[in-house]
Amino acid sequence: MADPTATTTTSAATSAVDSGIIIDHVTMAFAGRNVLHDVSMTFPAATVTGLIGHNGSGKSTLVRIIAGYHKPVWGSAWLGGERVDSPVTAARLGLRFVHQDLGLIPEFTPVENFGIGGTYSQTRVGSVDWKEQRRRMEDVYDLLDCPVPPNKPISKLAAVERSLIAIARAVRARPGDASSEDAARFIVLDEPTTTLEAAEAEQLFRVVNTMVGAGIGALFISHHLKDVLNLCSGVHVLRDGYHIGTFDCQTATRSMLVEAMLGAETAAAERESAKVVERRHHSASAAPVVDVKNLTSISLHGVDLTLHKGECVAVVGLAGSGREEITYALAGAIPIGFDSMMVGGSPVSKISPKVARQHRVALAPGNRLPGTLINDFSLRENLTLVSLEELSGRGSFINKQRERAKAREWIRRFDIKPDDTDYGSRYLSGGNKQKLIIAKWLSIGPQAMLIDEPIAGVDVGAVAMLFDTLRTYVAEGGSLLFSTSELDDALALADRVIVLNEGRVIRELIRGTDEITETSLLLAMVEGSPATDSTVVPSSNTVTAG
Amino acid sequence: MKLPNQLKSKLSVRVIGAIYVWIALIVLFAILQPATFFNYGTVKQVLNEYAVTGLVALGLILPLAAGLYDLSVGAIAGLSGIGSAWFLAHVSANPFLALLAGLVAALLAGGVNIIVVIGMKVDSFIGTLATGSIITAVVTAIAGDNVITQNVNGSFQVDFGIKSVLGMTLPVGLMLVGMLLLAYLMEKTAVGRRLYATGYETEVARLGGVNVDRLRMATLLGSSLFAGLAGVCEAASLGAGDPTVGPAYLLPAFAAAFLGATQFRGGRFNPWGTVVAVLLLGTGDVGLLIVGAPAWTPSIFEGLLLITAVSLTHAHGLNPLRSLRNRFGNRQASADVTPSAGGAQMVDEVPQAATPTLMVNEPTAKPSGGQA
Repeated sequence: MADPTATTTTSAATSAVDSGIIIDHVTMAFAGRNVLHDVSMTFPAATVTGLIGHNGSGKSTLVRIIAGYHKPVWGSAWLGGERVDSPVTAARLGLRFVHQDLGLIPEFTPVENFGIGGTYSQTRVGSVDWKEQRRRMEDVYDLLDCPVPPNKPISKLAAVERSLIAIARAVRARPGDASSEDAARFIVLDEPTTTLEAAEAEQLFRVVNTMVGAGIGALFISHHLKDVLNLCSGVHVLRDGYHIGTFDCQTATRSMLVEAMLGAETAAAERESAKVVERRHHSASAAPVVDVKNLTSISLHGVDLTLHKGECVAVVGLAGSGREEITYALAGAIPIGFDSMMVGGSPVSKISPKVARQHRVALAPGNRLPGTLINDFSLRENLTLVSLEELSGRGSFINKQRERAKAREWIRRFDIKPDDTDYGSRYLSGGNKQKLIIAKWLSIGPQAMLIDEPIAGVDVGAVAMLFDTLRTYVAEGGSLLFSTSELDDALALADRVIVLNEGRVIRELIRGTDEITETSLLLAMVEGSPATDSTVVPSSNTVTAG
Repeated sequence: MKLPNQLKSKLSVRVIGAIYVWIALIVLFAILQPATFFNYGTVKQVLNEYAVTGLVALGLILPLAAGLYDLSVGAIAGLSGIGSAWFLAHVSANPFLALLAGLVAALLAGGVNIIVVIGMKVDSFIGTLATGSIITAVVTAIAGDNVITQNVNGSFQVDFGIKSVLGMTLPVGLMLVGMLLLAYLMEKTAVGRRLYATGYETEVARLGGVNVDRLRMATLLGSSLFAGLAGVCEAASLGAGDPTVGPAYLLPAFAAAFLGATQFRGGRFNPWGTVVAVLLLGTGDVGLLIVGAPAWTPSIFEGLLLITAVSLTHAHGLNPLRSLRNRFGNRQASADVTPSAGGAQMVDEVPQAATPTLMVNEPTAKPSGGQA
């Protein structure tokens, strides 16, 4: 609240209050604990307004209040001049949601998905009038000024096409149309860019801007501050249930937002750890821990790769470049072929996660990916799942004392909250889950760690801690290879960055020898791609962030 | 202060609700028919008659914990019963060889399940439904619609069906030994932990180095072995190989396994809960008949119990069947297992670095949202 850098201008409240969202002195408590403290803010109509705050800041509670799912203890939410007191009211007032998982049925075509949650037009005999449905959908796409997706099941469409269907479905009808009762007035976009490449996100943003131009307001929730600055007019920041401030995105910078989200002290610590640390140059003479020749899989077409002891390698590339498969392929978790492979220093003829584990090579998908944690297990059971052999003696009997001691040790070391070994993993926050995943694998004392998307969906505070841990691991002689779509990670952690393109290594950048910047990585990623005809061109235009 | 609290939470209705229901049933029947119900004879009857169901149910929790259905356990019990009877009538009257023959038949059937479910990757619900039907047909083919009694009602019946300790026959002992064995395996060993991991999140187990297929094969063999033992015991206590008895064990076994999962272990299939559930089931069935309810009432009781058990697991937010549900309900989840479908975020901004943007077709203008 009393943050010096926060320019608390609620200028948003000036225009078109009638059809925007107004949060009026909302206080919310669960089980006697306040999660929102007297929050007042405005999301004006026909504008994109951001809402940011790290996990536990009260963001989702606020959104649920707007949606009418929670009744605040004090104050109220208004939409279009009417008080929102139930989900039914919110829907009637034209509030719609595009959730992170989109809520589409993968086997259905776009038209079939379009009608879900709305009304279907019917023929005289009561069957669905698909022609009319299609016309309605095309009308919305026309409004949004983007191409209508082909008549294929959702699962066969590109990620951005799926997102656009979800948005089109939320818009539902042209505002001011004859059937305008159905039309959206305000759309909440919850982390819509998480599964999108930068180019796709830009496409999405254009559609959102068109939508806003047509008079529909948008509330944009994202961890990606750059997206927020790029898309929104203004942004509200929540921290620990307080409305910290409202920023104008024309003038705000990323660091201003980070500071508002975390508080000045934590933000400084985060900057410190995000700083690119100069490390000793890795010597090519160090022993290789993982080495593969001519690795092939569905999306990899002949990759030679070596990971040395005490080295950190990042693998980057556009979607479909093979980046998403590389960690799984190296551990044999997907069908692969290779000429020769060495794992943990010894040659192997076949590879599977089990073989990798035996050679103390860990494969850890990032938070929210499949294969990370078992929600129904306690912290202890998740932590020790891959080290049961060490904890069990004859007859594979698990030594309970040792198991508990081990779980306690790693929970303490990673500062996982709460520090109860029997706590249900389901109830952990995203950051703590990611800590648990990394702790679980570090506890086997791995020679090498292969991590897919190490910080996807993790809040800023936990990222700093994870980075520190991984740096320490490498500094102590471990080897780390991770694939990432966040170039930040690659820049902050890696000694060497491997750039994949179309399933092949197209470039290798070594810290100290090559210039590793976001620009050089982006250039390498798109280089040689046949899709460069129009789609992706790095530009010298920088984001106006200040 | 801590101990009473711990004890309290261990005795709560959420943890051992079935035991309270069980006690309530006993009280109810004891009031209705104090003379005929409330005596040691009833205890013997419940245990001796329902230990066979207990064996089937205990075996069933193995594949269930690993995330597989086995709907063929009833048919397999029938097969092993008929197998041992046929062996006695046609090969040798040695009861132990007959027992062995019954178990071998059951394990062969388990092998067929493995081929279908693991080898051919047919969904376990559908696959074992089909193999169960085939096995039942094989049973009928072997018995030719007749009840086999030759040599079955001899020393085989005496050894495995009649001999008793404190009035308890062999299956009761087998059930208790089976319960302890499974409790050790599932709750105290690394194998057990991996079993539950496989059932809850197959992908976590697989990436963690568990040989998921091999583990699941073992559970299918395990459930057939228990069903095989049950079948032989049933044939022995009847003194006959009856081709019609097997399938009747399916429903009570499922009811016991699912109700058992709501007991003691917060939603996990476990042997303790399963045996308690079997006893509850047996007490209800036997009690209903003793108080003079019509013969069809036990089936209604069993059906209701299965529904109650499953709805209880949901009401508690428990999920013994996560991976099963995923397979049926959420095809997208399985599609997501390919890493390429995983999330991919894009370029965020680096402090103090130049920040180019990726552009599509045309230079992107700053959103014209209109805020001064």
